[in-house]
Amino acid sequence: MEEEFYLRFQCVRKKKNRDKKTYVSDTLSIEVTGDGLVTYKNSSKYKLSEEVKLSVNLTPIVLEEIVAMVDESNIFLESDSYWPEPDEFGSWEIEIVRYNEHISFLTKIFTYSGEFKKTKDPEGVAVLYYLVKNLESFIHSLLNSHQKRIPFGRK
Amino acid sequence: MSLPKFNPLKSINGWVLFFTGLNKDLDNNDIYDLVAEHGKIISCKRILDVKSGKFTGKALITMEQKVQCSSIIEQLNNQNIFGSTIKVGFAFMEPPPKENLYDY
Repeated sequence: MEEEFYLRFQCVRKKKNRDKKTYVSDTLSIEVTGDGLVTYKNSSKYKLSEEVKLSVNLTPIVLEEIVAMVDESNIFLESDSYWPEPDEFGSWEIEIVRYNEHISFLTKIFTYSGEFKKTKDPEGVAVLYYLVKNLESFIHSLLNSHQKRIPFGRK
Repeated sequence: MSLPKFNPLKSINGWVLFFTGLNKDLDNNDIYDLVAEHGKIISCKRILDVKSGKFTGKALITMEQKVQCSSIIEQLNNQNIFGSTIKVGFAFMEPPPKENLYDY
């Protein structure tokens, strides 16, 4: 392929056991390949469920929109050096391949926009934060429309 | 230039279409009216931007039958509606056939 594309986002969350010495970790990952395969994995046992794995093949018209989302955010102009490192609560990791360029970042978890305003590079972290949130919401709405049943009785 | 061919895939509630390039002032009811004459709509969802909360121009619509979807694509693909050209297509497809690694 002339224009390669690969994206992987991974969020690892850690929780302390009662020992206060050992950890339990959960991972949430989103992966998009150049053929259009999207997989969503979540190993947190929310409501005692098993590990969630959802995947679907996207058509070219939808894949173009994801690639455009990544291109417009200008994330290839950012660098990792002044961003905060992963801490005791977890980490965010993102890896993108586009036009034979490869990028990978590793930082801590940002849950709301006030957290990255205190860092040394707030504009760079904002680019990553809004890209991740937009991707998550877009892929959630795609997967829900494919695999979530509408409750009986709703219009 | 023809697009690569694929087989559309049926979702759990129906057949899902993806719209791009819509006018950003549109509401759910306007999108509903665009498509209502072709058949019964099961759900209609707009995709919003996280930072500003505004409409991005993309939407997902589920219809009941495949024939209704293909008639929508014939009528509305690459047309100018409310001042902007839109694109319409199926959203999900069957997995492409794997090339056999052991064919010499």
